[in-house]
Amino acid sequence: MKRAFNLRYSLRRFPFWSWLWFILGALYFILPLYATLDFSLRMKRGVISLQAYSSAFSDPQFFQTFLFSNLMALATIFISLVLIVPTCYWIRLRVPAARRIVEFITLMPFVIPAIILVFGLIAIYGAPINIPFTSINLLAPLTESDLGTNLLLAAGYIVLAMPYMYRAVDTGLQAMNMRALTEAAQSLGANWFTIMIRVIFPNLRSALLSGALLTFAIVVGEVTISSFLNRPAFGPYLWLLGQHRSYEPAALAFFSFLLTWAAMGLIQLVSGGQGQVSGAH
Amino acid sequence: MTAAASATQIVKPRQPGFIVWLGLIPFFLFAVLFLFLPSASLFIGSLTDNAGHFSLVHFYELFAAPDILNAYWLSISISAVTAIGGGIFGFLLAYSVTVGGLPKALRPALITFSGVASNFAGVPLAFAFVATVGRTGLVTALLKSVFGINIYNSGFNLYSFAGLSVTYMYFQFPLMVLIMAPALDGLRREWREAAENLGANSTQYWWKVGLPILLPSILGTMILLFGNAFGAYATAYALTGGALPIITIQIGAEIRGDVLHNVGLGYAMAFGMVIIMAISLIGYSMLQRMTERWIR
Amino acid sequence: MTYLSISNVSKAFSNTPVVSDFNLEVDKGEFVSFLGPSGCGKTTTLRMIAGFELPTSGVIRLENEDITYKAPNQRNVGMVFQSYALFPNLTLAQNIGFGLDVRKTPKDMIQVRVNEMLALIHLEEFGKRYPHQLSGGQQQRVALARALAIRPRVLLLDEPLSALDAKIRVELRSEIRNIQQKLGITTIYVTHDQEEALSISDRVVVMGLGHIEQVGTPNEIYNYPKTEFVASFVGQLNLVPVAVLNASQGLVRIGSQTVQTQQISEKVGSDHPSLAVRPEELHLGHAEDANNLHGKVDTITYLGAIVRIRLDIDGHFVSMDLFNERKLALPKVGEPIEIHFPVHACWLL
Repeated sequence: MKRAFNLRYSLRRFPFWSWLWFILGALYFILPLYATLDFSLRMKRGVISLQAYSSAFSDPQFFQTFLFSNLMALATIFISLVLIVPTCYWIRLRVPAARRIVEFITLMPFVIPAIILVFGLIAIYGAPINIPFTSINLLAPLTESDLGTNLLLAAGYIVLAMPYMYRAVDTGLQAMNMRALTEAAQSLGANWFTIMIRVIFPNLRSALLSGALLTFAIVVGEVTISSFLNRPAFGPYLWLLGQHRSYEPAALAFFSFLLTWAAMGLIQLVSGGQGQVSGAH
Repeated sequence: MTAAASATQIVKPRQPGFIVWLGLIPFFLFAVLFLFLPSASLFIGSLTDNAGHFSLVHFYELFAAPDILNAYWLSISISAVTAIGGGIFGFLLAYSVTVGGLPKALRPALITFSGVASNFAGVPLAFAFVATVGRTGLVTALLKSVFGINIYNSGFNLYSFAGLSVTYMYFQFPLMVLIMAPALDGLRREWREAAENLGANSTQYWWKVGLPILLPSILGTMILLFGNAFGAYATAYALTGGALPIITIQIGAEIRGDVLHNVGLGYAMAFGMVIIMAISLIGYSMLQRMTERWIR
Repeated sequence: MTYLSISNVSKAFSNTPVVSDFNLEVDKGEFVSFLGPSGCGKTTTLRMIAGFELPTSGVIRLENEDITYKAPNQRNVGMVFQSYALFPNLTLAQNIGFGLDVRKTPKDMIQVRVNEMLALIHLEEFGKRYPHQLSGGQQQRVALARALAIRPRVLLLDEPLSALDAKIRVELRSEIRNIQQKLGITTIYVTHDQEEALSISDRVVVMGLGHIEQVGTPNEIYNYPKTEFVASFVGQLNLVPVAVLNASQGLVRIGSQTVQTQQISEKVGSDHPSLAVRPEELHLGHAEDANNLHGKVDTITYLGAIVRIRLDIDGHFVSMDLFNERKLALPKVGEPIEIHFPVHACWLL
C-alpha cells in the first residue's frame, strides 16, 4: 500500500512537459550544427573526410582575415578595458550621480544597431571634418586610409561590445568590495595608477576575462561593420567564400561554432555562472 | 605618499564638485565621437533637405514610399513573430530546466549552450540553416526519404519570411532562456509551497502567483527580442542575399550605393529605425523596473 | 485526546538519515515547539507534517486520518514560513484571502473573513497595501493571518521570527501565543531559540541530530533535563569532571572537595562522570545544608541584568550567574571565594 502511494506520488511528479520542451529545444539547436558538420565532411564524394577543412585552412586569405580579426579583437579588448574599467571604477567611487547617464550610454548600442552605426560612422568620418562654419580642415576622412578605417572599425567594435563589457566590469567591481580595497590601498600610500594596476585589475580578472572572451566572440564573428568599411575581416571573408564555394564555408562555419563554444566555455569556467549573450548581428 | 595626500586634499568630501566628473572625460569623449555624433549626423541629415535647410521633407517621402513602408512592416512583422514565438518557447525551455523538475545537470548545459547559440548569429548561422533546411539540406533530405514529405513542394522556402524567422529563433530562444532562467530563480520556492499549503493546485499557482510575478519579465524580454531581431542585418543578408526587403537590408543597400538617389531619405529610414528601437528600449526599461519591485 | 500523531517517522535524503524514529502525540489546542540546533531535523519534520517532504517510513495521522502521503494542498494545515512567503503581486487582503479564493469561496464571505483576520493582527487599514511596503514584523503577521484564514486544523510555524529584530521577536511571539490561545488552534512551532520555545509552549520537543532527545513542559525540560544534550542545549550548564566516592550515598569529589548529590545509579556516567549544575543555582558565601566549595575568581563578565563569575575550583572552571543589583558587592579577580548550592540542584551525567 505504501509502495503504491509512493509510486503514484512520484509518477504524478514526472515532468513530462519539461522533457518535451527540452528535447524539442535540443533537437532544434543540435540539428543545424550536426547538419553543418555532416555537410562539411562530405567534400570528397562518397567519403567522410576533412578535405573541406584542409582546403579552407590552407587558403592564405583565411589566415590573413582570421589574423586581422583576432588582432582587431585584441585591440578592441585592450581599448575597451582601458576606457571602461577606470570609468566604471571612478563612478562607483566618486561620481555615483553619473551612473544613470553612463548606463544610458551603454544601452545606446542597443538602440543603434550595427547597420545604423556604420551608416553614421561613414556619414561623419567618410567626409573631411572641418571646424563648423569654416573650411579649416581638422581631420581628413578617416575612411581614406587603412589606419583610419581600422580605427573606425575598432571604434565600431568597441561600441558593439560596450554594453557587455560594462556590465561585466560593473558586476565584477561590485563583487570585489572595491571601496574598501581602494581605501586600504590609499592608507598604505598607493597612488591612482598603482591602485588601478595592482589592486583593481588583478581582482577583476574573472570579470575581465568574461568580457574579453565575449568581445572576442563578437569581433571575430562581426560582419556588418567590417564589410561596409571594406576591411579584410573574417566575417566578410566568410560571406564571400559562401558565394563561391559550398563545402569550405560549411567547414568554417562549424569551425567558428567551435571557436564560439570554446570562448563561452571559458567564460563559464572563469565566471562559474550565468552565461553571457550578445544578441543578433 | 605626498601625491595621494594632495589628491585627497584637492577633492573635498563635502562637495564632490565638478572636478570628479573630469575623470569620466575619456569615456564621454569616446561616446560622443563614436556614438552620439554618428547618430546625430543621421538625425540631422534626415532633417536636412537637399538644399541644406531644415525640413521634414524626407519624412514625408518616407511615409509616401510604399517600398519603404513595406520594408518597415516586414521588419516589424518578423521581429514580432520571432519575439513572441521565441519568447514563448524560450520561456518554456527556461522553465523546464529551472522549476520544471528536470535533472539539475541539464541546466548548466542549456545555459552554456544558449550563450554559444546567441553568439552564433550572422554568416555561420545562415550557412548552418542552409545545410539543414536548404534545398539540399540534411533535414529536408531526411523528411523526403523517411517520411516522404517534400517541404519545398509544400511551399516552404528557407529564403523567405518563414525561413528567416526559423533561423532567427536560433538566437532568440537562447536570449530568452538566458534572461528568464535567473528570473525564474527569482520565483521563490516558498511562494509555491505557500500556495500549495493554502490549497492551490499547480494551475492555480501559476495563474494567480507565478505568471503574474513573471509577466513584466516575460514581456520585457520579449520586447528585447523584438529589438534584437529588428536590428539584425548580417543573418538576413547572408541567408537571403537581400531578397527579403526588410528595413536593415534596405538601409544596407542605401549605404552601399545611394540607390534612392536621396541621401536624406536614407538617413530618415535609419532614423525611423532608431525611433522604433528606442521605443522598445523604453518599454523594456519600464517593465524591468516593475520586475525589480517584486523580486528583490 | 490525540489530535495529531506522528509515529515512527523517519526521513533520509539519499541514504543520509535526517530524521530518525520520531514519535509524538499532540492534543487538540496544544502548542508544541520543536527546539534544536540547525540540522537537527526539526524543519524537515515540520515539512513532513505539511506534506512538502515525504517520510521514508512512518505514519502521520491527523484527526485519525492517515495524511502521510496526502498532497500538501489537501491537508488543510496552515504554514507560516521563515521568509514570510507573501505573494508580492497581491495586496495584503488578497494574500490573506488566497486560501479562500482557491476554494472558490464567495467574494463577500472572503471579504468578511479577511477583515476578521486583519483585525486579529491589528492591521485593519492595511488591506490594500503590498507586501514590499511593510516591515518584516508586519509581513509576518500577515503571513500568520493568511495561514489562519482557511481555518486550518493545525498551524505550522517554521522559525517565523528568525529574520526579525530582537525586540520585535519578543513582541510577536507573545502575539502569536495569544492568538493561538484565543483560537484554540493546535500549533507546531519550530525554533532554535530556547527562550522562544520555553516562553510560549505547552510542551517542548528537544531534538538533536535527527532524533528526539526529550519531550516535556518547559519546566521539565529546563529543570529536569534527561540527557546531557538537553541539559547543555537548553540554558547554561556547568559540567565538572568528578570522581565518584560513594555511589549509594551520592558523594563525589571535585579536586579535593566533596560534593553531595542525589543517589547515583549504576549506569550513569560510568567512564567520565560529570557533575551538572546550572550557573544560577550557585550563590556567594557559605550555607548550611548545602554544598559548599572553595575557589578563586577567574573572570567577571558583566552581561547587563546578569553578572557572570567564572571560578577556578581546584583547576576546574565553573560559571555562576548573579542578578545584577546596583550595590552588588562583587569579588575581585584572583580573590579566593566560597560558593554554595543546594544538593538537589546538581546531578550526575
